[in-house]
Amino acid sequence: MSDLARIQAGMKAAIVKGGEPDTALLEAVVAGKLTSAQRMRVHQNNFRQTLTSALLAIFPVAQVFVGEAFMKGVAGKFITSEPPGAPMLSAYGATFADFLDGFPPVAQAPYLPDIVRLEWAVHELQVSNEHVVDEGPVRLSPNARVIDSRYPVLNLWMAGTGQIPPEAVNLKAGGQCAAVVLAFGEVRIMALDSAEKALLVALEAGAAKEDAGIARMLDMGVLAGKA
Amino acid sequence: MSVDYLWQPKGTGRPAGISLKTEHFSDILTSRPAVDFLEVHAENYMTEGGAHHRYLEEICAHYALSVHGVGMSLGSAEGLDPAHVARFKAVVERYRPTIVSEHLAWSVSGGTYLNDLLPLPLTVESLDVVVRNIDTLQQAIGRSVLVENPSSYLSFKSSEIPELEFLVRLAERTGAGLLMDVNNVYVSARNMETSPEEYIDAVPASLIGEVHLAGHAVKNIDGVELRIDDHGSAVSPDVWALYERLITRVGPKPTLVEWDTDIPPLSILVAEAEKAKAVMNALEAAHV
Repeated sequence: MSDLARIQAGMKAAIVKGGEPDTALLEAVVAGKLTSAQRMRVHQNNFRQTLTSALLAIFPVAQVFVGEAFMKGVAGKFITSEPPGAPMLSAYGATFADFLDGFPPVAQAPYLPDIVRLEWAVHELQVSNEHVVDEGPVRLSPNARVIDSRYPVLNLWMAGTGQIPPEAVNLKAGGQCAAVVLAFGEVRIMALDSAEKALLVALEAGAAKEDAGIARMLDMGVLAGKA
Repeated sequence: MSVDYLWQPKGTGRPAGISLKTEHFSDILTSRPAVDFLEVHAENYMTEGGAHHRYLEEICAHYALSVHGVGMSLGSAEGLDPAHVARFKAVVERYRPTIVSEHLAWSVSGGTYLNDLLPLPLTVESLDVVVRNIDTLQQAIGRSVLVENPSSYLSFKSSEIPELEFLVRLAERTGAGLLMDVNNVYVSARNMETSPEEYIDAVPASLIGEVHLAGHAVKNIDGVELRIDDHGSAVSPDVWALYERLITRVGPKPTLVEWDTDIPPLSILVAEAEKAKAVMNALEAAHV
């Protein structure tokens, strides 16, 4: 490994992991009025703070439910565990919901990963190109995402965005299925009822028959293709 | 490869510009402020779609554009990420900017992106690495770029080439120009206990394709002052003085005021650009 590659690997480890950098790295840095560790901390803090801000900006609704301190804490764990793989922050956070699934403190707010999935779908579609699909079999549109939740994810979203009062959400009322659709340059969130959900499952299995539901879901932009 | 970093705009030849922030999109289109160019971060326009592309396309019909990369990692020992180079190229081809720039820094190691402009040991080895990476980038986009001097919080014992000499040597070897960030010169000099005036007085005028100005924060770490380049406030009086000193010697250069955190109303940014233009105008008048 070249000297430059060794320094970069050492700094990367110190920045991603946080805490005291290893001795070899500290010895390579000129100290002066500040210690090498204090100087390294500028970069360690910068990494954590800027990525935390980027994640919090993508998931504002999740934060309404668990608060800023919790979000910052869990974002910090995620950043250490899964740092970005590309210099394109609009793509960073795609796996945050899956990470939350395996994060024990989330048990206090078990619906949180699905709120995050919904917010990610909105974010992802907002920076996507609208695909034109009028050929091929009827299927889930590339301009649509479906979040089938065990929790009332749409009511939670409405409460989190201030459209209904929090007391109007009953967590025990059963799950909801949300569709997020990009159409005519705008991203919209809609509810899918059980018949529509069943139709999606049937389509995936190649067992759907032509019916009014398909026409309606093509109109909604949830489905694409030739009926 | 064309040497297109020496932008000579029509009109005054004293262009002053500002960062283009999403917060100001509609304000810029309705008020059309009298700035000469706008600068965006390349990485913010690497998505395939989104409202920000539609705004930028419309804004580009009225203003010259500078595309400023923040994630190329020109100092990475492992070389550039071809996927990122391709995305960068797509932004340049889509918007055909007047100026294209990047940083003397690294931000990628082992495929992990550290979202920061990290310092390099300034050695013969790292000079070769940066030259190779700039060559790769310039070949890919078919034009020369400007390379910005970093703001530093630490340096390495192994460094053997002074920063300005390092920049000049890589410009000579690659045909790249310099993006002289006066705030970075000041921040680094204060943090590393060197003279910002000596640095400013030694920059070769012919290599400067653009000048950056920005605000920075002052932090106190256990009683020791540290300047942080956060682009979150007005340009400091010390940095204005350095800018005047530079422009007096090298003449007018396209100057851009950056503002990336705690974004103020558009009028504040425009006023900062007007101030830079006034500095250039006053010195020009004094020479007549």
